[in-house]
Amino acid sequence: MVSEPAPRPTVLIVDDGPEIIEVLIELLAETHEIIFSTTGRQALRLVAANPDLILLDINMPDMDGYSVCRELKANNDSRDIPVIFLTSCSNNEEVVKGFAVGAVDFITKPFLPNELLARVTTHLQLRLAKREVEQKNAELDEARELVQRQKEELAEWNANLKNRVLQQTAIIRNKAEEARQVTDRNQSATDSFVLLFTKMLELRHSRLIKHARGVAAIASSMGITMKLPPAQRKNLEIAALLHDIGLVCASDRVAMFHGTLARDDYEEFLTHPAIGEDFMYFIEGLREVGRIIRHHHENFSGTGYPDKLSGKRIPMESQIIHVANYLYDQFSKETGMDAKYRITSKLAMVMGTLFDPDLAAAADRVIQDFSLESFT
Amino acid sequence: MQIIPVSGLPDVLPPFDIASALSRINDNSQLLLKLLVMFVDTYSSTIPTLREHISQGRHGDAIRLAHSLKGTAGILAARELAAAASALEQLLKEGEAVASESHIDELERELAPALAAASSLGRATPQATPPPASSEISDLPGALSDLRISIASNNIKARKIFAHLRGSLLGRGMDTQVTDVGSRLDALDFSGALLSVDELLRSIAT
Repeated sequence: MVSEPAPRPTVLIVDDGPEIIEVLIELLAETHEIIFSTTGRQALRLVAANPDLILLDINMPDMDGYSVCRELKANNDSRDIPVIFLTSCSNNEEVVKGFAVGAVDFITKPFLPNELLARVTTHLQLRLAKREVEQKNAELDEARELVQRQKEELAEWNANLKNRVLQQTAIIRNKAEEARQVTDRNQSATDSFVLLFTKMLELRHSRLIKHARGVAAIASSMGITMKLPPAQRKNLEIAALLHDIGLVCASDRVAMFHGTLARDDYEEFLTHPAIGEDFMYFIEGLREVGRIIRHHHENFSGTGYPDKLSGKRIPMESQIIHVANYLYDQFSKETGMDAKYRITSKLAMVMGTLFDPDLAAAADRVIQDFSLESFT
Repeated sequence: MQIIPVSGLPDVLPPFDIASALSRINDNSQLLLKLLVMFVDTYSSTIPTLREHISQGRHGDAIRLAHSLKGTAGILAARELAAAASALEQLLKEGEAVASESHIDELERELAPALAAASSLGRATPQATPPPASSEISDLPGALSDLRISIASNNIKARKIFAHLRGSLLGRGMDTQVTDVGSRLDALDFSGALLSVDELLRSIAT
């Protein structure tokens, strides 16, 4: 592969003597691009060609070399171009003055070719090295600026992120507060309905409310024994309290029955769990309570009502209320020293048919803990 | 008009040290011949000019002329001449205008044989004109424009460009201007060469 030849460095020769210029052309033109000027003023115009080095005579008629050099160094575009003074006399005063105005070197006329070439080449190489360093520095500065910009952008992004997180947190907090207020309102409404239904039971018949409170107490105790979670236990307690709410719509015979019912009355009685669920259906916070109420007369063997559910398809809370209902009846009926024994025995007989055997332990605990006198 | 000496360069030409002078210019004898001719053209009237500068109080001009002669004599290895010019320059710088008269005489004694020696090499004659070769350059106006750019920027490569173009330019009824461009480039008179190139461009356009 043939590579592009490196561009030849450009040398600007400034001398009012054509002979000097011709000699310099002879010595430099083979390896350098040569532009020349015979006056200082013209030289200042020619630096627009951006030469790599200037060979500058000191004694010139229109403008001496010192003044030309001063102007070159005062101009941002030309200040970095190395200037070598050409002089016929190298007294110390001239040399000091030359360096003071910015020259990098002196060549005394008449010059030796090797010396001239050596000095020119040296200063061109220095110039090239300086440019490379400047370019590297510029690249470094650019990279540094880029890093700084990215750092600032990252800092800004982080600051924004913090603000966004704070905003989102505030929004979530507000939503949570709103939700809490809604929940509180809903809870408050639910509590009001529970109170209303309880009052309805009480107003319908005192026996109904007494029964409801007794069953609720037994069911709650079983829930505690079974270590039900608080929310589940709360639904259980409300459902136990309102499990017979459907009876408030029943006839007096059915609502206040004690003992056996006539066939028609019994069929009316069978509807109270579903009616109870209907009451709850329209109150969002009591819908689950309604489902529990619906199934509180389902038997474990599938012979109950209204849906003849069996086994574990029956909600556990419904089964607990079923047991509590049974125990309440037994507590109301059984008296005497061995009442609890009899109740335990009877219960054992219906475990697995009426009730889920898994509830046996909790039921036994109730039998042991409760005082029967409070139910009579 | 290009200037070349009639005769060649002798091995010895006092007061010039030919061997020393050649060693300073890559042994280019053609260039030394040219420099010697330029020396005659530039410094033949130096002594009367110096006297006039001093009598008119133009000491700066006198110093520069002595300085310039010193430099050229140095290049041509005419040591005694360079020393005389240097002594006069120094004296003038010190403000010794009256006392410098004897130094001018001394300088004249050194300069006269030098001018005579250089003049003995012969005067300029026009360079032989090569046959026209207009077919070599397909885009002559474009090539002339390139030449103009180089001349306008005082770039010495204008000489090479012109040397390449010269054959194509001759024989088109513009030989006087063509020769003039060559002479001016040779004498480093690039401003004058530019005017002649513009004339050539106008002629080609019509």
